[in-house]
Amino acid sequence: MTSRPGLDIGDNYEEKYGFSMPDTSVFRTRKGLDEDVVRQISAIKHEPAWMTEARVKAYRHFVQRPMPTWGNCDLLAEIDFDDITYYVRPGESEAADWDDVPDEIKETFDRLGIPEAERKFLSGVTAQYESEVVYHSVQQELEKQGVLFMSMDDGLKRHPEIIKKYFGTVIPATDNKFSALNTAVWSGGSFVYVPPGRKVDIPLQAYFRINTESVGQFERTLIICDEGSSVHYIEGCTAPIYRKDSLHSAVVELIALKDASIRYTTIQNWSRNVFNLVTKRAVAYEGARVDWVDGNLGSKLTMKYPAIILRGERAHGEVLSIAFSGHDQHQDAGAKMIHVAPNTTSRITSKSISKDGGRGSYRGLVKVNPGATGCRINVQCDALILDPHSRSDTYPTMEVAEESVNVEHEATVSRVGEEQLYYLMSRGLSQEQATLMIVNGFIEPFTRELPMEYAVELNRLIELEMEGSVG
Amino acid sequence: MNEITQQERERQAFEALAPGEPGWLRRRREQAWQLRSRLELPERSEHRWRYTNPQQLLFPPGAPVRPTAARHAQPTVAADDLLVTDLAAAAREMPEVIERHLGRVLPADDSLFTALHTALWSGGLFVRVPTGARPEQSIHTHTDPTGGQGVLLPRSLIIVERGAKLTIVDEVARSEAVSAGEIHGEACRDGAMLHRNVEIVLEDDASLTYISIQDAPPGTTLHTTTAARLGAGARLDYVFGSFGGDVVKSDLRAEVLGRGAESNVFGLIYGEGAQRFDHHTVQRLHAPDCSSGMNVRAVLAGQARSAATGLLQIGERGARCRAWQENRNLLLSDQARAVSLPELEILTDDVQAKHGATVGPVDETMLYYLASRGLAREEAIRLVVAGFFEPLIEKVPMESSRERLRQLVRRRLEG
Repeated sequence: MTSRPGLDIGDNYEEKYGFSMPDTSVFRTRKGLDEDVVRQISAIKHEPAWMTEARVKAYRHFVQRPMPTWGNCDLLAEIDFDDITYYVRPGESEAADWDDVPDEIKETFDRLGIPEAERKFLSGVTAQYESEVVYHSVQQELEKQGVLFMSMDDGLKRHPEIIKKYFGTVIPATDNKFSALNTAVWSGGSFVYVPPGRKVDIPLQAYFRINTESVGQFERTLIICDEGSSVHYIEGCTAPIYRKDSLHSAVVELIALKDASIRYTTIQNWSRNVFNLVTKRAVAYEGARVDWVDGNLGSKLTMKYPAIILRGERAHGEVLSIAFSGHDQHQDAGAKMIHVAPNTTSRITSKSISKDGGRGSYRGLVKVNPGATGCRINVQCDALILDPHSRSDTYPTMEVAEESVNVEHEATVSRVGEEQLYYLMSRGLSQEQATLMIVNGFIEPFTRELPMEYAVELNRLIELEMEGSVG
Repeated sequence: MNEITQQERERQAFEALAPGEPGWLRRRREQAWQLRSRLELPERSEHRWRYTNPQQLLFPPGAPVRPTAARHAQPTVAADDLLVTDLAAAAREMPEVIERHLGRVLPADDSLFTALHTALWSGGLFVRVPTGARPEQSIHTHTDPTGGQGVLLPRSLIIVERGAKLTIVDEVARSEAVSAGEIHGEACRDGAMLHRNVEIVLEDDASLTYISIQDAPPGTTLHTTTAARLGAGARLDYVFGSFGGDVVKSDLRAEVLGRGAESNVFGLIYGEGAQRFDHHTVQRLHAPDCSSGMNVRAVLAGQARSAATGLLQIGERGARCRAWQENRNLLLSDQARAVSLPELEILTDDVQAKHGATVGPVDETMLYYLASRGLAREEAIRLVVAGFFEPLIEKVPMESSRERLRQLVRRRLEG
């Protein structure tokens, strides 16, 4: 193992997630993007004409839409759209049994522990490799209950009427440059539909993996929870370490109908050559509840602001996030709450840790529209900076157009307190152990909300990130 | 749409500038003029312009630009410990000082409006407090915008030298509304547009309290850009009370360059009718052991809108800095709108920074409590609003200004 001072994360990452397999893909579009490539992707998938048209329209918007003028413009300018392969088909078809997954891909997911996790505590799994879902399984029990959980491509084939009704209604292609790009070239992702009153107690999981260099992954996820139903969906992401950068640009739309509940948990641990530019948005109808639990550990630049539009009375939204920014990383993450209906409530809790010159930015929006009376909103952002070279920003925006509303926002930025450290060290802990303990305590409100296995995994990841950070 | 006529109006104003200024000043105006013609209007996507359309600050058609400040020149007040004069007069009489300082803290290339202002400014104040001087009297300056349309572009330069200390009260209001004191007048008319640039230089250990109160008459557009630079151990307390005008755009920037300096902003905003307020502050701490605070409170009735946006930055060399921001908004009507955007950028670890913001209505439990003591609802609301501002007002270090602010709040509540 190489030992670069203060940069231990890459080494550990390489061992556990950063490996790559030989490229055995059966088809890839040529590098770069034009209308032909967009049509080619649609043709390969035998899509209905309306989807082809939606893609082409979105592509045209993508081309004429300028890059964002806010956020980390320097890093964004590094993206070479011509050097990316937008669609890579890794194998012939989607497997329902691990034994049918091609060996290289199976080995990848074996090493990442996916089949094991499925056996232990998941009721359904999809695994996406490059552009396509390569493995999919769901407990028969769920299928009998009418719960739909499949790849988005499969969803479009088998339930075109539902997809056509909801696709792009929460996040239109024209929302931003990257949602336009995703709509043009999307592939994979999950489609979930939970029928009225059905509570899915055991989480569904999707696992996303980029394997080859300079590949873009553009999964598209749509989750619809019908009246009074609930689901917990978990996604994880990793990629090998390459010299050239990859682009991950997902669009995730959640629809929680009356009294439904959706929890969407992400543990993003992309390698540090991945641009992670993701649009995630939910609509919560009357009495519904949406939770985004969002962990950002990896990537070079993440720009992600999970949003909830509280459209029905008494809807509730929560975003709970942590961001860990290490060397050469910028986690620009946050949350958006749009209160449209009266008596809606929301809470945003954001924890960010910066070290080794990393930069963590909280960027958020709380908006209360006219007519949304009686809303309650609470925002709490805390940042820990672990050394003098690291950086933390807080950019909250609050726009309130209604009198009978209470919005509270608080943020703190600090380092690990000397007093806390000395106290723990006087109890016999090393400085490293003491710092780790304080960091774990700091993010505890987040880990508390994860399923046990994930909480353990996250603590282990943080431990790796923190290793060698003292002294 | 009006871009060509706007430029035409600007050109006429530029050509009408009075001759007789020192050559260096004329050259600077010309350079700024060249610069202005190359610059575009700021983009709405630019942070500073998110809540005010820069088009609204272009010169209104038919409104004359005051070409010169000569006829408004005030007699020079000079004492051992204080120099107060008209800036144009100072440029003639002490060119070495003005040439060195003018445009350093607020350079012409800052924006199209600054370039334009640098080319066209006339009138305004020059204040200099010599090393160690701590004059007892405060400076009062007054701009009266009543009497018709017109564009005014006054510019002020305030230099507080090493270890000196001063209080300035700067008021924009109708004359009769201004309390007594030494007053530098600048009369303009109804529907006026005021572009003001204020530059503040605080040398090491200097201290300035700047109290800026505006109760401009309806129809006024008020655009103020204030830039301050603080040396080691210096202290700036900037207090603003924003009550009048139709469109109020105010940018305040404090660059804290020396160790142990302190920069504080306290602001009161009271909006009603269709008033639009956009108060933007930037405080940057570039040195160790500095502190910075911001506390802005807005009360909004009618269809009034307020945006309070503030950036607080602690730079890489800002070890042991402390910074806090607070913004509270009280909405008295369901048509009023408040935007709050307190931002932190922290580039090093050994600091304490926090901010808090709230938006909400008058607390019903308070009203209930007051009602149980026999107060009518209207009266109770008045008490709660007055109480909302009081913690800020009582921090203002001038009795006359505290009274003035309370009077303005009262008038709004009763009116």
